Amino acid sequence: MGVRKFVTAMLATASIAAGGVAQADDTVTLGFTAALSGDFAAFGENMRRGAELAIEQLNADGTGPTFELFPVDDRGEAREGVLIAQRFCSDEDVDVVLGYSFSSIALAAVPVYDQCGLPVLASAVTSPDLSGASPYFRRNILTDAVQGAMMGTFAVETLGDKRIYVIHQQDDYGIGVANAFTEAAEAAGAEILGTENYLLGAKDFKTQISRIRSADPDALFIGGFYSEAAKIASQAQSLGVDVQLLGTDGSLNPELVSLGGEAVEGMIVYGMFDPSVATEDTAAFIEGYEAAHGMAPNAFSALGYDAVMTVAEAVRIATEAGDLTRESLNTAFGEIDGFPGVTGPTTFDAQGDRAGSLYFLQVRDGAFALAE
Amino acid sequence: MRPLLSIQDLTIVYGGLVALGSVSFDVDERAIHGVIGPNGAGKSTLVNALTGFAPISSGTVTLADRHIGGIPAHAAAAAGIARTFQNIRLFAGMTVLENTLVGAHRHFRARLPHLLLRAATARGEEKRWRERAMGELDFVGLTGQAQASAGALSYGHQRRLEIARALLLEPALLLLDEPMAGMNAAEKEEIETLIRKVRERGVTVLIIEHDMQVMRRLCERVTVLHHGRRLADGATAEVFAETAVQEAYLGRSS
Amino acid sequence: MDFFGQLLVNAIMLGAIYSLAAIAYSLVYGVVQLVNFAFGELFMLGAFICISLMLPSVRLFGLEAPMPALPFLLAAPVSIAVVAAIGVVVERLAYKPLRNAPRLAPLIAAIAVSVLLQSLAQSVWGAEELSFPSFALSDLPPIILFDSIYVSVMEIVVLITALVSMLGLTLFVRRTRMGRAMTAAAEDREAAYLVGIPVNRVIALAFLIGSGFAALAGVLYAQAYGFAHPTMGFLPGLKALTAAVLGGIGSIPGAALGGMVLAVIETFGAGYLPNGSAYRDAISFAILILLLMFRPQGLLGRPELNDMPAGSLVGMLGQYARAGGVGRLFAPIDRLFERMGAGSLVLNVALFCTALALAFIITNDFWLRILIFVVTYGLLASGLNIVVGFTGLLDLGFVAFWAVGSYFTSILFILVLKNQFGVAPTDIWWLFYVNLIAGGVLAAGAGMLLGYPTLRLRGDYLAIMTLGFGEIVRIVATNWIDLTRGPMGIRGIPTPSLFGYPLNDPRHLYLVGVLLAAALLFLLSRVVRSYVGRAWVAIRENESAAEAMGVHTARYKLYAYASGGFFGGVVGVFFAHSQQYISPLSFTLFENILILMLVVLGGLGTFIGPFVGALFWIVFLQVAQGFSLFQAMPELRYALLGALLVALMVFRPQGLSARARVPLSIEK
Ligand SMILES: Nc1ncnc2c1ncn2[C@@H]1O[C@H](COP(=O)(O)OP(=O)(O)OP(=O)(O)O)[C@@H](O)[C@H]1O
Ligand SMILES: [Mg+2]
Repeated sequence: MGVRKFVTAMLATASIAAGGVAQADDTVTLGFTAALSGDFAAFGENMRRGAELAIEQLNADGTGPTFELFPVDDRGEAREGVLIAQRFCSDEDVDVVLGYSFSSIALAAVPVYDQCGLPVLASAVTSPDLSGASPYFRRNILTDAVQGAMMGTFAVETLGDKRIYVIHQQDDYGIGVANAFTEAAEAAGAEILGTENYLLGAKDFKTQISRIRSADPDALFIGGFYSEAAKIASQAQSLGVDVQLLGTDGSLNPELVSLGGEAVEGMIVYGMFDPSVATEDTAAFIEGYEAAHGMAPNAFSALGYDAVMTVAEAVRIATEAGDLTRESLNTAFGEIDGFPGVTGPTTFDAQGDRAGSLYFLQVRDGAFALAE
Repeated sequence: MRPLLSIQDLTIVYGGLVALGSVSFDVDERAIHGVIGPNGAGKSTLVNALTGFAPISSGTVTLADRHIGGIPAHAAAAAGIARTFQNIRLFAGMTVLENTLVGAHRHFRARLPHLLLRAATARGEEKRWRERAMGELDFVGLTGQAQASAGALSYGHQRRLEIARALLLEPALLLLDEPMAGMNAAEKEEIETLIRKVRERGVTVLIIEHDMQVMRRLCERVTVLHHGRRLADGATAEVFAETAVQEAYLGRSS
Repeated sequence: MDFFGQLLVNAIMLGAIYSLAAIAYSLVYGVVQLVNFAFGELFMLGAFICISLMLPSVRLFGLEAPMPALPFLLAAPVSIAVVAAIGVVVERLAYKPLRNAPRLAPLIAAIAVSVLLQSLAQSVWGAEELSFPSFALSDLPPIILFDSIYVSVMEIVVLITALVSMLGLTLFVRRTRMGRAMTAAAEDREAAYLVGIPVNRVIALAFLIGSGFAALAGVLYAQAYGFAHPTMGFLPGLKALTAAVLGGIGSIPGAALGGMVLAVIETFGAGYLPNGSAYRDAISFAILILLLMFRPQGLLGRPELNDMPAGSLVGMLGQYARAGGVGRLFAPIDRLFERMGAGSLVLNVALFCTALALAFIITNDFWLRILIFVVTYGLLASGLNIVVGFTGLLDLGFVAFWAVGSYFTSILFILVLKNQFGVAPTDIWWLFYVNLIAGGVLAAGAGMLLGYPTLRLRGDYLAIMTLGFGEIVRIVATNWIDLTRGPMGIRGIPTPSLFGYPLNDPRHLYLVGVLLAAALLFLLSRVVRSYVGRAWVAIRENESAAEAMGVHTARYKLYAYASGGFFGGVVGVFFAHSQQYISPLSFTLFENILILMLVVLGGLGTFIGPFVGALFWIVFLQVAQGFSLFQAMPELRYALLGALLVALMVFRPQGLSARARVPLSIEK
């Protein structure tokens, strides 16, 4: 096989791999990447379900262009971040990219997008490092700094917790929320009795919990994902620690309850959406989601849904002004102003961040309900 | 004649086992010196002790008036002692020539920059030792085998290669641990001739061998070990005549 | 006091589990002198099978499958029996054919089996945790001692189970014929064979019992922490191995003691040292390293266990490998590589030009990015190849050097010059080129530093110690936030540029990579094709003979570590600047194992092998994503790699490009 033939064969494989069936020009392809397998697949899967629903509804409506989702799994591996970004960049059909479960992977991918001018609208990465990382990068979720601070204030002022212990996962996410939480809680007059950390994937928290127990706090703030939060909760229960558990959007996941069982009962977490407070506008979303997926949506499904709807709005703005290109789409994102969605209105600031509000949710009878 | 190697009260203890107990003897310069003794007598242990492979419990070893007792193996090689092994230890994944060149290791002087730039010094010494190595291969009878894989050589050729490799060290003293083991009479004779030629080049040879006919012909002096003790030491004919030696060893083998 | 007491209780529970798993390592090591890295995975399988049996239905391969919903007391023994059987099968297929092979072969096979089982489990049960169902015993309220120390009923059950099974094993070994045969085989396999002990059956039995213990430990661990997960066996496996070494590998009471001691040190270290819980695993690895340095025989072991039969995988061409039909399969590949390896200038230049030409033939940036990874991993594998392939030292901590290079340049460019002194990274474009060298030299120094304590060790112990170093470096990089920004990573690293002309698109980066690879390989070939290379290979083939020929083996091993480190460091600098972002996520043990596998796959001790391995594997990883089977179960790709490696060890340990043998002197 000659070199040229070999290369052609490779390129053919590439386009197969890229799912590149020839498409009509009026199709808008939304690249979607997140951890869809591996330990933290739940966030990605929820975003994807939300996005799929939105696409279904947009295509059924039939007034605009056809939308298509092109999902690629990053497996939570750093190495994949760059490759997937390049795959989307090189695939001319891809107009915009959604998703992302890990800030570190998004951070690795940003330079590639920056270079090929492909706009990204992420929905689950909250690192402050991503603010202003690129003119092509935006997200419709609040940053750790904002969310953690809101929780800190809420814990002290609404729940009345005065003696709080903090435990967080040792990464950008955990450190970010824990610092913001600590600052806000202290500002609101609480005493932070101590801070513990753990590595993502840790299983044994008994040492930290024994120390937390000695400090005798009112509340324990867990800055981390549901899998560890569930273990912390059950190990705390078995060591006789009975405090108000506080979590983050990383714990806002049905898996928290299925892993943690009664140990997480009463735990309070936050998210940008809550099905139980559905307004008329969001009712259609919830109904459609339950019909399509047989389960209630959570904040990440809602953000995924809103992301697609926001893209549709940007596409509308861009086509009105002229041709739809990556560049014009990117400009259009900047022009979006208060676009309504199930997680509230969307406007992006100059840093690519969005302002918004949080819901505080409590585990009651094995399900998330609005905290009182 | 001045002794090249002098061993005084050499003792080697493994756990509780005395492998060598207070053994003393001298090896003359340019001699072929035999060491004999039944299985487990401590012969290989002696070679190991001289080459840094066995920890010396007590006693002294001097080579040309220099203390070499307890020095590490690579230092023993640097001091001019080369050896072969009772169970052949070649570098199976290397060619015959490369094996031999490892023997010349201590002669190379080029430093990293020379190597990286392939400076004249590096090229020159590489070429010189390659030629020497080819010469040694001819000398031991491995002409034309330089590029063969060492692991693929016949048993007899592997023994020869071990000798060639040791010779490239340019040793003052060559220790041969049963170099003829498992060979037929004709092959033994060839190795015998080879050993004589080695000595003619000025190398002192200390050889361990179980074949008494060969040893009687080859060695000027022999030392007899038995249960780690020196049973006898002296001119070959005299030693072989000693009754104690015959009882302990020759009685069994002849 | 209640803190201390609670820690003690926690430590004892953890210790019981470590002890059980440590026995698995010790028992098998005693009989076959092999560190069976796969015990961590058998531990995990025990947990999964037990939970599956306890549920009414489980999702297997993504499909709902009915299960018997057995009670715990029935599910546990059944799962242990199943895992014990798996252990015996693994021994039969992967280790038995390698029993007389150089030690590196079964060791690599064990690592490959470990990757295989873990990836397979992930394909079968999915990547998410499976929670442990509660049952009567686990639901009982905890017992509270002195008002403040909580002990659950199951913890007492765990402790009793551990004690009873260890006692049972001791009685078995002392009192039964097979047990005594096992002790005899452990003393001296040859002799045991001669006196008529059925050695094969004894070894199978050791694997049977060992795997059973690993499974028991896994079941108890899963119960204690409430879940099973495909990667759950990895860390406890290493801890158990540490415990086995601590107690004296090969000794059963030693394993029990080692497990307890390790758990106590680890728990109290985490509890009382500042920021201890973050460094918890580092504490264990530090103990392991100190132990191997100063008392490799452990607390109760015998000293002489740690040596390795001489010989290398490369020298074994056709000796133990049962080539047969496989040999014929490789014949055309062999012919190709034979020509390449002969070092013909024309072929090498042609190869280099082809690599350069690819940059212009391939127009798709995505494939260029993939090629950048091929070059990066090929170079990393080449660095590791100096240590493993040429010098024969199994190094599982190689990623540390890669990390050193990456962090060095990133810290300098971003955290120091940009953040402290306000120097714009684009103004100092030349520093990248300086750093390539400086990062390499720094990593070479690190290589010597980390290599020094390992000099006296061989084979398994060497692998374990380097693994410990690699993990410590990663843990420090993760937790020393002031230096490395920890898990947040460092971003904004500039791409390479030349006089202000940025080399930032994939084509330029690929070209930079190819030039770097050519330069490094050129330098390496000059070193390898000299007395230095011969000394390395001599150490690999027969260390004592090398020493007898005057090779200062310790020094040349350090040179090998330094050269490997240099490669790792240079690649690290290139990697950081081509990615523009680094985080500790890139430098995991799994990456190290992957790099090792690329070397073995491609061919140990060849120049082209690491690149063949990298090209083959990284392209396969991407192409496989086009198949629905691998889309549904991406882990299956790694399972395939594991299986391939085991087969390679048995049938063709020299790798694909075995015949591209490197001449060790300048051709005349
Ligand atoms: N490394 C060692 N550890 C413990 N004992 C050893 C060691 N090496 C040798 N021995 C013991 O020392 C004694 C002498 O062994 P040695 O190999 O020197 O005998 P030998 O005279 O060379 O015998 P052979 O003719 O069989 O080669 C033997 O009992 C042997 O078992
Ligand atoms: Mg002997």
